[in-house]
Amino acid sequence: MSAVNMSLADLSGLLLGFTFTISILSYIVGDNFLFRLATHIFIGAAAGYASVVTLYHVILPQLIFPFLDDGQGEMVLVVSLLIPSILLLAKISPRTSKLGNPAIAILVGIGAAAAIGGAIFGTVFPQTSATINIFESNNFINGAILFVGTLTTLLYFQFSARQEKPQRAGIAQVSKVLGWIGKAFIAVTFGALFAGVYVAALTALIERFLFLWTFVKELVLPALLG
Amino acid sequence: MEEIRCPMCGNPNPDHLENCQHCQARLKPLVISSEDGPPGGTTDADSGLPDWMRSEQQDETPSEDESPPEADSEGDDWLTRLREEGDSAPVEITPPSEPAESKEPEDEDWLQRIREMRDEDVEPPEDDDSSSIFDGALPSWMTDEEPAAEKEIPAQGASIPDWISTSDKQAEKRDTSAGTDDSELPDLFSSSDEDEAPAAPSQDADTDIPDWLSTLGEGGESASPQVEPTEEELPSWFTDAQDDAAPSSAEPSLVIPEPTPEPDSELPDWLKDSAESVEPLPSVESTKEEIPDWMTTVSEEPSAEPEAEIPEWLLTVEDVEPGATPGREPADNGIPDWMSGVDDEDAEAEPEISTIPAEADPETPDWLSGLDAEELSWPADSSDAETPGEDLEPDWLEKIGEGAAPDLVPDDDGLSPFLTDDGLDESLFEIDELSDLLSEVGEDLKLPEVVEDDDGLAPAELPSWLEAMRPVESAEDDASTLDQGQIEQTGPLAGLSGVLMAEPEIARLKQTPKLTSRLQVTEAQKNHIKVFRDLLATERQAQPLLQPIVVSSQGLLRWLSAFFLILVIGLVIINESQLVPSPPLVSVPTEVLRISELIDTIASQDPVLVSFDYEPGTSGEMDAAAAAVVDHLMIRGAYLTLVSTAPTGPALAEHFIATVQAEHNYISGNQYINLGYVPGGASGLLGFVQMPQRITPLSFDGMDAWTTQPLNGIYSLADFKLVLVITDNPDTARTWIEQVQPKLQDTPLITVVSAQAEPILHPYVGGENAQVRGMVGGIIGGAAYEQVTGKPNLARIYWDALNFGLMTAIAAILIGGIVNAFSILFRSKDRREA
Repeated sequence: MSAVNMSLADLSGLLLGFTFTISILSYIVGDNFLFRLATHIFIGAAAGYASVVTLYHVILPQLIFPFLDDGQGEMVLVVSLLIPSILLLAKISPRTSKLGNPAIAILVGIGAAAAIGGAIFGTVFPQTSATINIFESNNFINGAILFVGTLTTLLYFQFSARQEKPQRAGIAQVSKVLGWIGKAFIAVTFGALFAGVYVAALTALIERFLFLWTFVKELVLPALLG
Repeated sequence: MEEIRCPMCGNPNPDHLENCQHCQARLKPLVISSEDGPPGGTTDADSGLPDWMRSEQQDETPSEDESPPEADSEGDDWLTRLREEGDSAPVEITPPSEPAESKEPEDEDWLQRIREMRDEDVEPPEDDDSSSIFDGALPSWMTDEEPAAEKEIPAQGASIPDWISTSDKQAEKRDTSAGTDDSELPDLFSSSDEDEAPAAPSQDADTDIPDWLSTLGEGGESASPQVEPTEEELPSWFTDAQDDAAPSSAEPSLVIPEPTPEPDSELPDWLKDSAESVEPLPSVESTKEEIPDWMTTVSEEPSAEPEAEIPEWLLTVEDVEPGATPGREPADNGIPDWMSGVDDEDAEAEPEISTIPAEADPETPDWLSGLDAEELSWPADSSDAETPGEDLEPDWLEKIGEGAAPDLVPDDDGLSPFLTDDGLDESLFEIDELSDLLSEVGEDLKLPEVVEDDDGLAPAELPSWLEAMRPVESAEDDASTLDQGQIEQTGPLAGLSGVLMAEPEIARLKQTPKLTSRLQVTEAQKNHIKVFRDLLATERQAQPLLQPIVVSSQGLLRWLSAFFLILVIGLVIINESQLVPSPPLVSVPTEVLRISELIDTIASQDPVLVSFDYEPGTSGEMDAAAAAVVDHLMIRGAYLTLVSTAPTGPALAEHFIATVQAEHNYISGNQYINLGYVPGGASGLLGFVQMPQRITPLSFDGMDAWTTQPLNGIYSLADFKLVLVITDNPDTARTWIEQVQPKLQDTPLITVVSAQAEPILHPYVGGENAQVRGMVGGIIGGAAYEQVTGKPNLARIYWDALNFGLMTAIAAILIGGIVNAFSILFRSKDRREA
């Protein structure tokens, strides 16, 4: 990559990218103006970009263009969708917010139904089946670890043991020990998540440093060194 | 042994007793002085004059016409004449017409009977026992004394005091000059008018005279000796003044005449005792020594005593010439009319009384100066007017006075009335004390009334039939029982015994009960209180705050961590290090290998759906992780359909194709199509699964996506040969898994996820029956996949930097752990030492 071969947009993009990257990295010395400025610009640019995308890729092609171009049958469907969409705009004012409640109700209902259905049929049943069939695989040790990990983790979240009777107290002690094992699995899981987060962040840092180095090496240094 | 009859019950009592032994009534008067009258009785305390004397004065009016020449010519006072007459034999009593006439005609009938009785008194008195219906009830002293009172009447009839006759004459003058009607005049005046009629007025009431009075009248022949006590009742100063007014008679006036011998039987026993106990006045000289100075001054006026020592009012008295008649002026100045009346005609004899100035001297008693002219202007014209207190006296008191006249009998002994009372002597009449005494007398004008009331009420008011029914025996028994009682000392019941003592009961001081203010607290309550107090005490105590561990090197540590991390990564990038080898192929995860196997099954121009659902912030990782996979797809010549559930996804997808995979020169609409943004999250993705053409009709660049080559023959997602989800959000990956994967049928779903989402999505990754057939996670997965494909890419570029960065982080964690462990050890050691 060389500055000579890049377009102005790419070049400006590289300059803005470099500037905002340095501004964000300035947070290492604490909250400062450059950091806040870069943050605000990113948020604003993302919101603006999302609005444009929504307008050009959702509203116009799915509400406006069908209403104008398609037939009456399509127009009726579009109008039936357009009215709830317009009522959603009533949520802007508190006095007219009640008008958007039906549309919100439809959206929430459909979204909840989709999420619950998807969770049941996409996560609960498949995961339960996978756990049941865990020993079908050749790796018995992995299956055993997964079984123990799943069971103890569920026991850890069991807080209803009674201590009134002695035998119940013994069961509670066993449950407590298993809960401690489940707690260890949870800790390992959170450790893995933290490691993944750290790896993701470190990768982003490396990518930015690489960008900076690339920018400097190919744009700044050639400009400076001639 | 002498006996005294009780005035109440009539029973005889020994003379040494003061109270009746039967009814406890007082036998002797409480205060004799009040009856005797103060020395100034002629002026201010005629109430002190006994009633019998008043009656005498009233009775003298008929003979007044006879005596005036004597009074006028001689100028002797009537007292002197009384003394002289006292020495003479008893004289017949003149009809007592005046007292009866002095009362209103409508007054009680008994007054008329008195007049009749006096008419009858002309007859020789009978024996006491011969009288009347009150034989048994009337006390003996009354039966004895009343004749004595009547005896003196004839004596006085012979020598009527001048001032009495003068008053009568004044009354005549007033009647003639002023012409006042009798009806307009008060009773006193009317009575005085009636007195002018010398006709025997008392004869008209013979039948109405009470029997007891008639009895009294029968024994009245021996009353002449009582004239002298009457004279003694007059204060000596008054007699001296008279003497001054009449120098010729002054000498004898100072000489107290010898008491007229009087039979003892006529005196009450107690009076006899008192008379015996009191020594008679020996002589004038001795009297002079005891009388006040002012009196001596008056008496010794011829000796030219300095006037400065004489009170002014006495000087005024002295200045009056005997023959002059100045009495009118002083009378106008407030001198009582009765005084002025006395000196009206007889002013020559007694002008000194009427010339007492109304304006009181400093020495004048307050009570006298306080009286205004009207108050002092008692009826001077009437004979009754000489007793100023008489008009104030109620009728009952007059009756009592008449009945009580014998109380003054002790004066018969010729003793001074001041000596009859043990508590009084002539020293009381010192000039300093005289005013007080006079004032007391003036204030206590009614004092004798109380005494006389007790003596006179019962026999006068009790009807005969009631008297006959009186249970004397029971009264005696009661009296005997009452002897045990305590004598009342104060109040109207003073002197009576057996009185219920109400005052001590009321005024009895009782000790107030002591009320404790302490609460009765049980032990349990005390324990509760203690516990509660302890709780409150602990609540008030501030709990020591745990001092937070201040890591002073926290900032430095942050700086050091950042410095080393940046230094390491920078050095690696700058050096473009390839020191760290790529992961070995044998260590490539199965899910990564499985993706490679799946992509290897993709033929050229097979439609592959690629979802770019990650944010720009993680684009560096995601681009590096997905670069090898997408590169593999492009190598395989698959048509790519790009879609995103994030608004920024389509742009990132375009950027990825244009930059990362720029070597493949994919053209939108030919090798790939960017459907753009799929809104609605899970529901939108579900709708995209069911109606992809409806949800994303246009491409990201505005083309009719479903008519392009990549989407040729694609009607649902199941028509795609492979679905690749590139995301950094596990939820987004799960949504794809939950909403899309079930609809994909045999189309495998593989994912390229961020390193942070890999642990969460790993359960979905598995074999052929797994929801996710293969997964590449982060740089590590991308590097592994590159290792599988044998084509280095971005992952390899980042690999060394990533590994050095991870080692730096591991080193920092280890160092931090060690430091923290040592700090804990040192802290625990310090606590142990402390």
